[in-house]
Amino acid sequence: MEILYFEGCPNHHPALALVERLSRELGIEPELRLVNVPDQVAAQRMRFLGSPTIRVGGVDVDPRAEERADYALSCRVFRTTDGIVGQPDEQWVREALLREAGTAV
Amino acid sequence: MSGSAAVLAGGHLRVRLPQLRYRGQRGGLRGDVLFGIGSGCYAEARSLATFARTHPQAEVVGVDIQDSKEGARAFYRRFGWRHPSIVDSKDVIAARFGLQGLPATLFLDREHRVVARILGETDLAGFTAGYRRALT
Repeated sequence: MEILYFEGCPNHHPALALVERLSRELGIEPELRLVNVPDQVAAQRMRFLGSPTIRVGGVDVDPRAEERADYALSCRVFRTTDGIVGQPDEQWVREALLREAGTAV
Repeated sequence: MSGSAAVLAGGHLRVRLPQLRYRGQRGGLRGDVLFGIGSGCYAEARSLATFARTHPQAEVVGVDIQDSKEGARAFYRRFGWRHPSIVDSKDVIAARFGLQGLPATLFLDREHRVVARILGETDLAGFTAGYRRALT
């Protein structure tokens, strides 16, 4: 599991806290890697859709991420049932963690 | 953040912006710059101020997203912002433009069609390149 971010992003710490809380609730211990995206070139190479980007098993937790190719060093916003927010929907992360845990079994 | 984001094609999205009936609006817009403001975009604020000063014919409009009025005003004071701004508290503009991240800069032609956009931090060269595209 990876959280991609850039230095100075105000949203990656809350993203990390979200992943840690959900992991605890689900009783799983994903191998978590924080990946700093340093510049625009790296953003393109790493297909970075903004900070925070959470990938589980290499797949973005946002179900609409596949439709996008606007890789950039930006603060990512997510369209959720709560509107446009700086964190992915909790349910997306939960489902991704469960999917990955199921695959690993 | 570091580095300058590329100017992307705007596609054929066309928007109506009734919110742009702000004080001092001029007729016959030559090109608009719509600037989405969010946390983390302080680094490009000075470049935008320079762009606005050197391109007085451009309409520069701020859009406050994920921010409070007080926070936005503090930002404007800090950077001497003199341009109109829109508080998008219900994410109407963000949704209409399909905003995916902040900061974002959208360049609109006189018909208010999005002709270019920059996602992520940019600089004076980026603002100028996008604006040139709006003029053609």
